[in-house]
Amino acid sequence: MQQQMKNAAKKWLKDTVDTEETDNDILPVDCVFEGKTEFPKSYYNTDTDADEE
Amino acid sequence: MRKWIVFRAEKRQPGWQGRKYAHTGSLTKTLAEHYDCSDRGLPEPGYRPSEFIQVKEAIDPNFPGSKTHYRDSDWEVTRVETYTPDIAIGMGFDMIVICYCKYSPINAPLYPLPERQVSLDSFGGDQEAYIRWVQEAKQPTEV
Repeated sequence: MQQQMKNAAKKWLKDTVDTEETDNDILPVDCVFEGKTEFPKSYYNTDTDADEE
Repeated sequence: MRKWIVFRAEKRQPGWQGRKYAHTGSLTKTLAEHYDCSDRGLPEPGYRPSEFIQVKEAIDPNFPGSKTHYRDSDWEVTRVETYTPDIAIGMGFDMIVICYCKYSPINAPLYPLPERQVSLDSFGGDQEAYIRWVQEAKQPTEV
């Protein structure tokens, strides 16, 4: 998990200021990045209803 | 540039009994650490690392262990030291930064953490797991 966090920080050139457990089985770790952080939306996570309008 | 930034209590700061590694119980002077791949400057004297707090009323039931708010901590950087590796290539970090801090309590305002963002990176690039999560998130909640 920590490696994933490091990879994401490296990829998005971010400063990771905190990592903590969430008690969620699927997403067990929260990473907090400094400053405004917006990841590009994935193809899989687009809202199809909005796209059809 | 990959920087490991360590915030460390100066000598003779109050509350030393409470500063322990959770997994061993050993005492430590380390207050916090950042893994910094950004291009922003190093912390300077006066900088306060954030602290993260869980406000019960704001807990997301899907993430009951998560912190919900943040604020400037009661620790203030007084001195910054930097260390670079002898060999610059292939090292884990390009720089280690030690920020010495003194305890300097303030009543800093509390801010809610922004909404959690989940991306393919959250699943370490596991596309199948990510798609499954997106599809489940789109399912209407049963009442």
